[in-house]
Amino acid sequence: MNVAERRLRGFNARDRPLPAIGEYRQWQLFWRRLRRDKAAMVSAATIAVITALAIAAPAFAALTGHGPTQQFPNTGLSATGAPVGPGKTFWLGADELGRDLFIRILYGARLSLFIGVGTTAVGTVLGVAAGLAAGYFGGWIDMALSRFIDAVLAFPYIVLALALAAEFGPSLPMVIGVISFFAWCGIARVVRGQTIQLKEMAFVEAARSLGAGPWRIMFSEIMPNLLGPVLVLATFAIPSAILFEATLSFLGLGVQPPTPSWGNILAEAQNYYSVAWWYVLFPVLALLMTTLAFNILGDGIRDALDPRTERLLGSKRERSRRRPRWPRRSARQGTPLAAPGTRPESRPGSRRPRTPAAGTPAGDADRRAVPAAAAVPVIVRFARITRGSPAAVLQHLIRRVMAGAVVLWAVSLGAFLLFFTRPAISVARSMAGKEPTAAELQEITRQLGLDEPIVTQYWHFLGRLLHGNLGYSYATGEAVTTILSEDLPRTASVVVGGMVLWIVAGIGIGILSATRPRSIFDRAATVGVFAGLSMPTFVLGQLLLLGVFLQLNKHGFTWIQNGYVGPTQSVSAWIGHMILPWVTLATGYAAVYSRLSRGSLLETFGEGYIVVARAKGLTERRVVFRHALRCALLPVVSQLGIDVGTLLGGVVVTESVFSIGGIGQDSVQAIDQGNLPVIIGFVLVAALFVVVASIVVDFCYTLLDPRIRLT
Amino acid sequence: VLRRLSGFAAAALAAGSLAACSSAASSTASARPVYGGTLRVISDAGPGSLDPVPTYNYAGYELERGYTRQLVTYPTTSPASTNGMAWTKATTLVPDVATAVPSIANGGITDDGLVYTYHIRSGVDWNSSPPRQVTAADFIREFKAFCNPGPYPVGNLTYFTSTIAGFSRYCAAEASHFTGRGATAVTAATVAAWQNSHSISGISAPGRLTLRVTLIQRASDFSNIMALPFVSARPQEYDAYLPGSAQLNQHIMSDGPYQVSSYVPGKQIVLTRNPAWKQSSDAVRHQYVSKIVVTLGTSSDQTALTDLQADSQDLFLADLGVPPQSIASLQASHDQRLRIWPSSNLNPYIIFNLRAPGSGGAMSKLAVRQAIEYGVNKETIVKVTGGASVSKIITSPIPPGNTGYRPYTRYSTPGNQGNPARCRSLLAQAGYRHGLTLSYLYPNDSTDVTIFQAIQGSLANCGITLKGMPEPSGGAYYTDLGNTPQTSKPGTWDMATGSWFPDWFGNNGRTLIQPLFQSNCTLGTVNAGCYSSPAVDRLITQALGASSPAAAAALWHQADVDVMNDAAIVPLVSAQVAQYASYRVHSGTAGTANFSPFLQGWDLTSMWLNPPAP
Repeated sequence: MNVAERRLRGFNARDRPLPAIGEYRQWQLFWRRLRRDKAAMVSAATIAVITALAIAAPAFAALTGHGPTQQFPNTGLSATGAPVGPGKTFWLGADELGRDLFIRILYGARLSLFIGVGTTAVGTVLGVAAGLAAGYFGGWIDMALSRFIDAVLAFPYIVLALALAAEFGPSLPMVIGVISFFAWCGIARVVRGQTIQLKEMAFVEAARSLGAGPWRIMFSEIMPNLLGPVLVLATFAIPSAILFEATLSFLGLGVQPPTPSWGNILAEAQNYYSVAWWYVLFPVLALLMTTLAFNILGDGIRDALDPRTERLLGSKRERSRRRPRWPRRSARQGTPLAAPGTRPESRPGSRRPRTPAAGTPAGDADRRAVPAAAAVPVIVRFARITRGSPAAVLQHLIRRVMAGAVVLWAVSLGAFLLFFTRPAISVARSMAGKEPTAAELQEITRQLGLDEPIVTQYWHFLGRLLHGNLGYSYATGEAVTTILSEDLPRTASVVVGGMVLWIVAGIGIGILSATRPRSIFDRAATVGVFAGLSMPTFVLGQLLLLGVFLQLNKHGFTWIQNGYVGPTQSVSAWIGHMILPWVTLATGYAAVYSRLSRGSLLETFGEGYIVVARAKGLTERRVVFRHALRCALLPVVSQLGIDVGTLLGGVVVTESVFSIGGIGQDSVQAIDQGNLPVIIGFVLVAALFVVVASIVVDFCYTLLDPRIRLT
Repeated sequence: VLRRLSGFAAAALAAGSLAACSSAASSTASARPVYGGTLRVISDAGPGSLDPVPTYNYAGYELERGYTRQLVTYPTTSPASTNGMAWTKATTLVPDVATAVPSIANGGITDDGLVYTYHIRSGVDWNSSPPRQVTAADFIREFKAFCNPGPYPVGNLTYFTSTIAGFSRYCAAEASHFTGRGATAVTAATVAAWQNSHSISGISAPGRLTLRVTLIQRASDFSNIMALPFVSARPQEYDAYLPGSAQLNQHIMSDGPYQVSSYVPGKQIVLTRNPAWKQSSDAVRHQYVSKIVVTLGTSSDQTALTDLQADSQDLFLADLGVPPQSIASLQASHDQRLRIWPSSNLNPYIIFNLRAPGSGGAMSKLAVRQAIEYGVNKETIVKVTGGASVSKIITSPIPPGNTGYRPYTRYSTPGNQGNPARCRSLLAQAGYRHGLTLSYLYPNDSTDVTIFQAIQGSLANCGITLKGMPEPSGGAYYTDLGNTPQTSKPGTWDMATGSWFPDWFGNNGRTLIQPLFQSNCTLGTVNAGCYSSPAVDRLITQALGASSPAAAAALWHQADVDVMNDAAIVPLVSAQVAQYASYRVHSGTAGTANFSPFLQGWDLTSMWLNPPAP
C-alpha cells in the first residue's frame, strides 16, 4: 500500500459510512477498537502528560531554581529538622534533606519510566528470542532452556537481588539487570507456548513447503503473530518494573540516592507517614497514576486485540461483521493436539508459572490474563497420558520429579556460588565482635570451614544436604532446620490466610463484574482492582499499620494486632494478628484473580453449553455457579498453584512490615549478616515449593477438567 | 550482626542506641512500686546469644541485667545531662556480688595497684535445685571461657589479655591445644576438661568467696573492665555446653532477680521471677514485674513506635529506637511517653582512610582533610538525626562526659554550618583547585543513607564530589571498614561513616582513644583509617599506666588535641538516647530510676507497671 492509498483509506474511513469489512487490516481494527475505549485513551493521555512532564523536568528546575539533588537545609527544613510543607517556595513541600519534592518527583519520573521501559525492552527481546528458539526447535534446546527458566523462576527474586547488591553494591545497572532477568523468563514461557502452537499451523506448513528456512519462519511467519500478546505483556510489564524498583528501594537495593526515582523517594518517605503527609502522598499519587494508566491501557490493548471482546461485550452487529475476518487468529484456534472441547484460543499473557515479583503487586500485572492458552500443551499432554495407562502417568510423574530435582540442584548450586564464594573474612568479621584481632578472624574462618577450597566446601555442603542437614546458623548456632520449623508456620499463616482472602474477594469481584459487563460496578471494580495492583506493598502495609492498627488500638479496639501469634494459641488472636498482613498480601493478588475470573467467565458465557443452559430456562444463578464457574475457574486454579509456590519467596515485604518473623523476613536479615547456611536453607525451601507446586498444578489441572478426564 | 557489635554500629543510630529523656515523666505518677504484671518488650534481633561470654550489645546487656550478676556494676540513675553529679554517680561503680568496690583505701587494691581482691557476698545464689551459693570459682570459670576454641569467644578479649597477668599465655595454650594437626576435637567436654585443668596465672581464689586478680601493669580503669557483663558468674552446669552455643542458650541459669523460662531464637524470650534471688543480697536490682516477655523480630523502628503508640507493647530494647523523624512531632505534641537521656558517643563521625590511593592520595594530605573539617555542615546532620534535643554537636574525639574531655573547637565554622570558602582555599593549597572526587562508604540503612546525603550535599558546596559505596549494615560494611589489606588498593573507600560507643563512661580512654587512634593497621582494626602517630601512641601508653583517672585525664586530652590537629576524623554529633514507653511503665525517683547510661537503655529490673494489667 503506497502513501496515496493510505491517505485514501484514511479519507474513506472518516467520510464514508462504515466501509466493507474487507478493507480493514488487523492493526486498523485494533486501533478502531482501542480508540473507542475511553479508559484506555485517558490512560494513554495520562502517560503522555507524565512523559512530557518528565522530559520538561529541567525546565521546571530552572523555573524554581531548585535542582533535583540540591539541599536547602535552612529553608526546606524547620529548626527541628522537619521538612516544610507545600507552599510558594516548595510547591509540593520538601523532603528530609530540604530538597524540592516536586522537582524530585519530576526527575524521578524520568528514571522510573526509563527503568520500566528499559527493563521491559530488554526482557521482551530476550524473552521472545528464547521463547521462539525453545518453542520452534524443541528437543534439547527446549529442554535446556525450560529447565534453566524453571531454575531462575524458582530462585526467590529478592534473595537474588539482595545477594547481588551485597556483592556488587546496589546501583541502577543492577536494578535493571535484576528486573530484566526475571522479566524475560515470563515472556519466554508465553512465547514458547504460543510458538509450539503456531508452528503446527497451516500457514507455517505452507511457508515451509515453499522452502522457507527456520529463521524465516520464526521471524517472518511466527513472530508477527506474537506481537499482540507480547505487546500486552510489555504494557503490563512496565508498571510491574516500576513497582519492582520501588520494592527494591524499600529494601535498600534500588537506585541509590541522591538520584531520585519514585521508588527511592517512597522508601525514604517511609518514616514520614505520620509527620509529613505531602512526602508520602505526592510520590504515591504519581506512582499510582502512572501504573494505573499503564495497567488500564494494557487491558484496553488486550481487549482491542481480541476480536471476541465485542462478541462478548459488544453489539451483535459488530460481532457478526467481524467474525469471518481474522484468518490468523481463527487459524490458531483448534490446534491439532487440542483435546475436544478445550479452548485453545490464545489470550496474551497466558499461563506464567512465575512472575517477576510474585508476592508483591509489582510482579502481578502479567498474571491477570486468562491462562488457558499456554496451559494447552499441558492439558494435551495430560489428556494423552490419561488416555494411556496409569504406568504412563507414573512415568510422567517420575520424569517431572526428576526434572524438579535437577532444578533444585541448579538452584542450590546457584545459591552456593552466589554466597559461598564471597570472602570468608566477611563472615568472620560479622561474628567477631567489636574489636577483633586478625588471629580471631582467622580462627573463626577456620572453625566454620570457610578456609577450605570451594570445591571441598561444596562437597561437604552436598553431603550434609543429602542427610537432610542444612547446617547451623552462624549468628545463633541454631540448626537451620530448627529455624525453618519456627519460620514456616508463620509464613504459612500469612500465605494461607492471604490466599483465602484473595480468592474469595478476587473471584467474587470477578463474578460480579462478569455478570454485569461494562456496568458501573464493573468499571469501578476495574479501577479499584488496578489501583490495588498499582500500590506498592510496603506503602499499603505501612498505611494499614498507621491508619487501622494504630487508630483502632488508640480507641480501645485491641483485637487487631501487629506481630505473630500462632493459631494453636488462640484462633481469634491469630486472625487479629494476621488480618492486616492478609489484606496487604491479598490486595495485589485479588486484583489479578478478579481480572482472571472475569475474563474467563466472559469467555465461558460465550460457550454453547451456557447458551443451551440459558435456553433451557435455568436461573441465572444456576447458570453462573453450577455451569459457568466450574469451567471458568480452571485457569484460576492453575494460577493458584503457581502462586502458592512462588509466594514463599515473595512475602518478604509483608512479613517485614508486620514483623511476622517468617522465612521472608528472616532471609533479609540472614543476607544482611552474611549468614550463609540460613540463606541457602531458605532458598532451597522456597525453590522446593515452586517445584512441587508446579507438579501439583499440572496434575490438578488434568484431574479438574472434566473434558480432559472424559476423553 | 551489626547489633551484636554494640558500640560500633552506625546503624545503631537508627536502630535505637539513641536514648532517653528529658521529660521527667518516668519519675512521676506512682512513686510507690507496684508488684506484678507482665512487661511487654519488643526487640529487633535481640541478643543473639544469652551467654554473657560472647554477648556484646546493649539489647543483650539489658536482658543480662535480669539473670546475671557481676562483681561490681553501675547504679541505675537517670542523669539529665553529661555534666554534674548525677552523671558522675551514674558512671561510678558500686558493689554487686562483691561486698565492696576494691580501692587502695579499703585494702582491695595493693599499694602498687597490681593486685585486686574481691570478697563475694554471702547469700547470692544460683537458681539450681537446691539453690547454691555463687563462688569465686564461678567467676574463674567465666574468665577461662573467654578464649574458648568454639565459634563464640568473648566479645572483647583485648581488655583482659592486655591487663591480667598470664591471660595471653593461657589463651595461646588453649588455641594451640585445639588447632593444628592431631589437635583435640572441639566439643563441650574437651573444652571444659582443658579449661578445668589449666589456670590463668593472674586469677586465683584464695578462699571460696574470695577472688584475686593480678595485673600486668597498673590500670586505673581495671574496675570498669571488671564491670563489663562478660565478667558474670558462670555456673558449673555450663561445662556441659560450648560457650555461646544454641544448646547452652536453652539451659541458661540465673543468679539475678529473673530467670529465662523460655527462649526461641529470633522469636521470643520469656523471663520470670527467680525464686532463688533475694532482695537482701542485691542492692541494685529489684523484682517488680512478674514476667518479662520479649518479642523478637521487629525490624523497623517505625513499626516499633507504632506498636508502642497503640499500647500493644510497653517498651523496646536498645536495638530499636524512636525514628529520628518522629522526635520533633512527638515533642511538639508533648507526648509524655517520649524520654530523652544523655549519652556520650561518636555517632556518627567521619573516618578518613589515610592509606587510600584515590584522587592522588588526597586523604593522606592534611590540607584536604582539614578542608573537609571546614566543609561539613554539622547543623544539617543534627537536623536529619532528630534535632538538637537528641543530637549534640561535638568537636573532638572525646565527647563530653568522659575523662580527658575539655571543650574546644579546632575547626570552627559559622553556626556549625560549614565554611565552603575556607574549604575551597585549603583544597586549592593541596593542589585541588578544581575540586576532587572521593568515594564514601556507609551502612545501607535509612538513617545512614540520609546522613551520607547530608555530608555529600555540604561537601558539594566546596567542590568535593562524594561517590557513595553503600554496604549491608550487618556485615559487609564492617568488613570493608576494617579490611586493612584492601585499604591501600585502588577502588577502596576514601571516607566512611563511623560510629563509636565507648563501653563505659568516665575513665574510658581504653575504650575510646586507644582503639580508635593507636597505631593498629591490621585486619579487622577499628582504627579503620589506619591513623598512626608516634606522639599519640606514646600518650596512650602513658595514660593507660597512669596512677589515677585524674593523672590520665591530661594525657588523654593531649592525645585528643593531637588527633584533631592531624584531622584524623571529623567528629559530628553525639547521639542522645530517645526512648518511648507505655503509660504503664514507672520507676522510682532519681535514686532508682530506670535508665542506665551503661546499658544505654532500660534497666528492666528497676521498673514496675501501674496498672499491672494492660
